[in-house]
Amino acid sequence: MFIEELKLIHYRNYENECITPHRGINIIMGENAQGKTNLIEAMFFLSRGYSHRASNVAELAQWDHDDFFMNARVVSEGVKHTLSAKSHQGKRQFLLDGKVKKRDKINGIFNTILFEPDDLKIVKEGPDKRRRFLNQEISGFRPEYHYILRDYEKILNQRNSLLKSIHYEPSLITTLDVWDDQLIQTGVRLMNHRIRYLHRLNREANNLHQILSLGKETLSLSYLNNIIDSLEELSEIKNLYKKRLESSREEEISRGSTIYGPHVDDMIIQINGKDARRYGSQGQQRSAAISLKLSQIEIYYDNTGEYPVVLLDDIFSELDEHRRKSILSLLNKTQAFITCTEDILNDGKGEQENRHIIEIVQGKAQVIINK
Amino acid sequence: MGYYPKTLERLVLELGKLPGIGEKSAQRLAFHIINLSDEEISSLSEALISAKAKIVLCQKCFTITDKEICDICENPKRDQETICVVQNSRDIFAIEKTREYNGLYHVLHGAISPLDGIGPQDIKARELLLRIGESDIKEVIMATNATVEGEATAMYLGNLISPLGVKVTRLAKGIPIGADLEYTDEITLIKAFEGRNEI
Repeated sequence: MFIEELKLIHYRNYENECITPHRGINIIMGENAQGKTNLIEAMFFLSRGYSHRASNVAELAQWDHDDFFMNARVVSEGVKHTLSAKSHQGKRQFLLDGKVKKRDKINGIFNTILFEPDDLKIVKEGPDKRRRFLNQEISGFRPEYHYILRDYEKILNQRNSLLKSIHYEPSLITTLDVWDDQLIQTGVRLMNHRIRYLHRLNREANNLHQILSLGKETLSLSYLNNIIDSLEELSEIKNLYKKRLESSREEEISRGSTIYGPHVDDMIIQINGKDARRYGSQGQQRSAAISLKLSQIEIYYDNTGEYPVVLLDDIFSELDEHRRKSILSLLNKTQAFITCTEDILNDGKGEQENRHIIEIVQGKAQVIINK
Repeated sequence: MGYYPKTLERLVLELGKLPGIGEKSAQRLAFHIINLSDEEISSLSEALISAKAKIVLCQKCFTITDKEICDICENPKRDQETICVVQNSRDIFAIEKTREYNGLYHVLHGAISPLDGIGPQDIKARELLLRIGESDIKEVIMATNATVEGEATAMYLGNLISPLGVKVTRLAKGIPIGADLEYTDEITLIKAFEGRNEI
């Protein structure tokens, strides 16, 4: 899967720009604040339907404009598609080959894997960042996951609201059972998805981490949840879940919220057997985050038979020569976009085929090297 | 608005409060109404007032009716041993259109939803249990919506009814007839897989 042409109109600092990327690696080069990340954001937006930086679509429109328009020619499974997104009065609309589509119907046509500096938080910060990572990545190739998650959140909200109501209307406790049952049904499905995914991710991320660390470090992931202690208990998970809910009822009612379930899941990331969040160095944490994110390339391929488009925003400046080269070699089957302030591929030692440099100056793009 | 006479403006505003009626439609209806004959107008306003005054809930099944007991409950040809539980009266009309179901109904007027402050006391749940206790019901079909709230309501009522020795069933979920599998949304397909039957 790759993008042949990207047109941006009144989007961020792009007035009216048309970019024709290379099928291999594209270096988006430019000084700070010229619009490199905006370009990455545009491709992310087209593929996922939302921005990774702005929660309000109106922010994506150019200063002085209310609406924006973007259009991409993409090739997916050998078929050319035109994918467009526009905003009108703060509402987003997506078109596939000229026809208006719901956002979730454009999934799979054009997929991106994004790595940006904020992704370090997956390793460094709280469990919510890791759950968000899991949710986003699994939804990317398992559409049903998105629906299960949505249902789980609805059930959780209803149940929490009920727990609070039981405080002043104790008779309502008779209805708690049905919410428990639904929580268990949906929660277990969610956990099964996460367990399966983590199993695959563990293998892939460790491979990548080994490469990045010259074989000196092993990365291992384990699934942490408050229902089962080990995967051997998986077959009993529904009963265990029920028991947990039964034994914690009083506490849950006094807290007014649900204590047990996948909404408090976590993923433990270890480097050489030590918790990377606490004991990892900056460099180790960065490599771990990169390994987690870039594992998606192969996992996505396994699930769909196609490589996604890889977007790397501002990570190369912090990496040493070896890691840069290792990452570039991972990208040899994909189309990739890498932002940086200098020509990172020009080390003066060859291997410069597939080098395509797009220079960005104040919202204008110019191809300066095309090999 | 300002450019309409006050009386007309009021009519437009009142009509505009109705569901599905926007400002344009409200204006069009208002102009249509003022052009009606006196006779037509009295007939319309009388219909509005009497509908509101006479429509009550059936004392048995709680659907809307203009009698004490609705036509379905009163009909001796209907299967008196089966009750189909729905969330609102409109669901009855949908099921009746199939002409396949010949039992009785029970309208809950809502579904359990703690977020909206709706508990079993706020829907016609107790009435359903009383009804089952008083008559010889063999099967209760839960036809609440396929939402988490509808599901919770069905499960809650099911848990209360099953111990009474009454069979409780739930409508199946699956692929719409005449629909292509490839166009069916993922969650419906998953449910259809789970509810698959041996042939």
